[in-house]
Amino acid sequence: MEHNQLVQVAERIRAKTIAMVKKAQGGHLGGSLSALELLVALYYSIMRVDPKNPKWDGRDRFILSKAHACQSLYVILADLGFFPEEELGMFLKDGSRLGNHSSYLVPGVEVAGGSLGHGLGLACGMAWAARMDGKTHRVYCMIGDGESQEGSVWEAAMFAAHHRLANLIAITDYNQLGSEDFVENTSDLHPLHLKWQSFGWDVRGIDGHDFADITRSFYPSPRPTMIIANTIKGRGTSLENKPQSHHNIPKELKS
Amino acid sequence: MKDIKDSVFYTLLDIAKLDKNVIVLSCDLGAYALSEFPEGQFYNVGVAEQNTMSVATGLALEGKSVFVYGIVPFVTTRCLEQIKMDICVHKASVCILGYAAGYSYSYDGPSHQGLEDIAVMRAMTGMTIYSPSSYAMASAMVRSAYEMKSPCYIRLDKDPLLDDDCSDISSGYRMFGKGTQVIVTGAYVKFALEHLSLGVVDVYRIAPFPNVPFSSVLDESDGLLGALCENKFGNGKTHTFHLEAGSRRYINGRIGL
Repeated sequence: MEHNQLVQVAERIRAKTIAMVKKAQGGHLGGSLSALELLVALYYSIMRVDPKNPKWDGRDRFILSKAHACQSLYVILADLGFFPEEELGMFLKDGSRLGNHSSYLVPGVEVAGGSLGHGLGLACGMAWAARMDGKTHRVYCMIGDGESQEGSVWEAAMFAAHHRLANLIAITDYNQLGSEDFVENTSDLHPLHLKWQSFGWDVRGIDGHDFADITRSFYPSPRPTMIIANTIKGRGTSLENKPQSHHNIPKELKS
Repeated sequence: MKDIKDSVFYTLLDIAKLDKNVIVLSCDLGAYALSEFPEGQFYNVGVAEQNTMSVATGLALEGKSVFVYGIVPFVTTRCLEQIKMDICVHKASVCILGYAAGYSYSYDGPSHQGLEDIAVMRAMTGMTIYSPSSYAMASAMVRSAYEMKSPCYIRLDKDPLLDDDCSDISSGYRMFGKGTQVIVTGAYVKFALEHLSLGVVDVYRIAPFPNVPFSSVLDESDGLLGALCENKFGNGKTHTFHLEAGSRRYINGRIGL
C-alpha cells in the first residue's frame, strides 16, 4: 500500500477509535493514538495475516505488549474483517470480548495482556519456536516506554540477543509518558537507543507518525530489531502530550 | 542411592526422544540426565526465571511441551506474575519442576527454602500441583504432566523417597496403615512411616485436592491427628525465617516439627 493510502487508512482508524472511546466513555485512548500509525503500517503494509483464518500457521505474529492501547488495534482488526465492525459498539459492555486490555478472546489477538513487561518474553518464545521448526514467519512485538521500566523487558532483551532471534522485531512506542507523569521524571530511559544497542539489538529510530519513516525501518537483520518510534501520546485530541491522556477522556469527547 | 532428579529427567529423556516438541529449560540448575538430551531439546537459559516463564509460554503457544527446572522459590514466588498471566491465563503446556521442597536446602537460608510454594501455586487457576513421595511416583507424574498439556508444578524433595512401584496417581492420595492418621506429603511420607507410629495419608496431588471427603479417611482409620508439613502457615505459631545454617532435622526441631 502506498504511503498516501496508509495516511487515509490512519485517518479512518483514528476517527473510528475516537468514536468508539467516546461511545464507551472509557479506555486508554492516549497510548492507543500514539501507536496508531505504527499499527496501521504493520497490519496494512508489513505483516502477513489472514482475517478469515486468524490462526493460519504461516501468519506473522503480533503481540501488543502494551495491551491497554488496544483500542486502535480493535478498530484495525474489525476494519480488516477479523470480526464484525458492529462489535466495536460493544467495547467495555457487559459480556464483550473487547475489554480494556486485549486478549486472545478477540480474533487476531495472540495473547492476553495487561501486565506490562510480559509481551517481549512471549514474543521471544514464539520467535524461538519458529526457528526451531524452520518456519519463515516473523514475530512483531510493541512495547511502551513506561513498560520499558520493567526489568523483565531487559531479561527478554538479553535472551533475544543471546539466541540471535533475527525473526523478532520489536517496536517501542516512545511517547515519553507513563500513566501519571513523563517517564524521564519517574525512571529515565535516556539514552534508550544506546541501551538496546548495548543489549545486542539492531536499533532504528523513527518518527512514529510518518509512514515513509515507518515502512523503511522494516528490513532484515541478523540480530533482533528494535524500532524506537518517537510518538505523541493522545495525538489528535486535546490531551496531546499530557499525562492525563493515559486513561482520561478528552473534554471534547465527554458526554 | 537413588536421586529424584534421575527419576524425573531420565523419564523426561525417554519422552523427549520420541517427541521433538518437548523442550526442557533449566534456570542454571543441573542434573546428570540433562547432558543426554537430544540437541535442541535442552537449554540452560541462565538465571532469568521471569523471562523463562514467558518464553516457555511463547514456546507452548507454538505447540511445544515445555518443562522449566529451577530452585523452588525462584520458579514459584519469584516469577509468580509470569506464572499467573502467561502460563495460567493461557493454559499453557508448561510444567515447572521445582527443586527442592521445604527445608531441603537447609544450609542455604530462606532464599532457597520452599515454604511458600504450595500456598502461592494453589492460588494459580488451573495449576496441577504434584508432590511425589516415591521415585516411581515422580516418573509417573512427569508422564502425567506431559500428557495433560496444561499448567503443572511438581515439587521435588532432596531427602530420600520411598522406593516402591507406585505408578497409578489418579486418586491424588493413598493411605498406609490403620490407626490414627497423619497427613503428609513428599519426603515426609517416608519419614512418617519410618519414625511415627501412626497411619499415614500421603497427599501427592495437592491441587486439584483429592475429591475425597475426610469421612472416608476417618472410616478407614481411628481418627485424624493433623497434617505434618514444613509450611509457615497453619501451625498457630508466628513464622520466623531461619537464616542460621543447619541440617534439615535441626531446623525441623527448631520449628517444633
